[in-house]
Amino acid sequence: MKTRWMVGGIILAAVTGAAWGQSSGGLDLSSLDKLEAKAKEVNNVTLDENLLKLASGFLNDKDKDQQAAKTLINGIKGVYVRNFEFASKDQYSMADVEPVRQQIRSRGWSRIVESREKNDDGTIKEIDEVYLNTGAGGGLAVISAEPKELSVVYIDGVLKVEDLQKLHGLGVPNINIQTDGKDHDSKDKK
Amino acid sequence: MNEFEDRLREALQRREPPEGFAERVIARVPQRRATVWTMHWRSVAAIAAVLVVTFSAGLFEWHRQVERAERAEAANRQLMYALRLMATKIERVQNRLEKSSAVMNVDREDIKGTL
Repeated sequence: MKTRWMVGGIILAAVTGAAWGQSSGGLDLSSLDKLEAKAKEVNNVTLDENLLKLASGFLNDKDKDQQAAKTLINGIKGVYVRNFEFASKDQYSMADVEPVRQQIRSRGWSRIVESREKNDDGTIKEIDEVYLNTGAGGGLAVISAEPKELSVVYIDGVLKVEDLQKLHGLGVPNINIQTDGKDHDSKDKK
Repeated sequence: MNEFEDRLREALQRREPPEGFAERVIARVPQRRATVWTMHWRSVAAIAAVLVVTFSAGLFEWHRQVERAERAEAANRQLMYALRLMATKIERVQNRLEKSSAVMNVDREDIKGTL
């Protein structure tokens, strides 16, 4: 339970004052397009600033989730998702995800949370990463690579802590900011 | 007085119209009717044109609004999907870390100044 609070705290703390993502163009996720042919289900979301404004005008204030989303997207310039579900394992490799990770690393984003699970042969079985751009433009990227599912979520823009906490209604557990000065994050598990 | 009566009688006496007078009058009557009819149809056509233009503009605007609403609804669905997916993945990594009793090792410099 403590870990949960810590991870939430780290994410929120890092988002505070935040600033993520290269505002100029954001991440190029086109390297993942080739996986569409192999996936049994593909969910792509590409929402630029104009579409976000359009969407926000139609969000229902009476619905808690949508109300949270409305507040959350203030200051966001884009939301991009690439989600692939595969019928069987080994339909993609970490090499397919590497171009995206490389872009993130080359821009100096901070990997604030990482969780890995390895196969017996030492290759990566599953990996979950959360990156933040602490630069001026802001940005958040979540990469989740599971045996039969690959998801990349990229949010271009600045989120506020209090708004992110409202994600509680969307499934994120209630989270608290850690201010005890101790460092946190994940490690590999085998 | 007799002279006056004579002139009056002469003026009021029946006279035959000039030859072809009746035909000319009759010929003119339908001609005038046609002009009125033409003017009437011009007005009707103009009103119809205005109505068609107004209706078309209204229809176009309505289509535009419907299209906009559909785009907004689609964007809305995509946004909620994206936020839910993000929330799910963050929750997943939290649960995994919790289960694995992971050691946290974030670089404090990364979040310096944010606490």
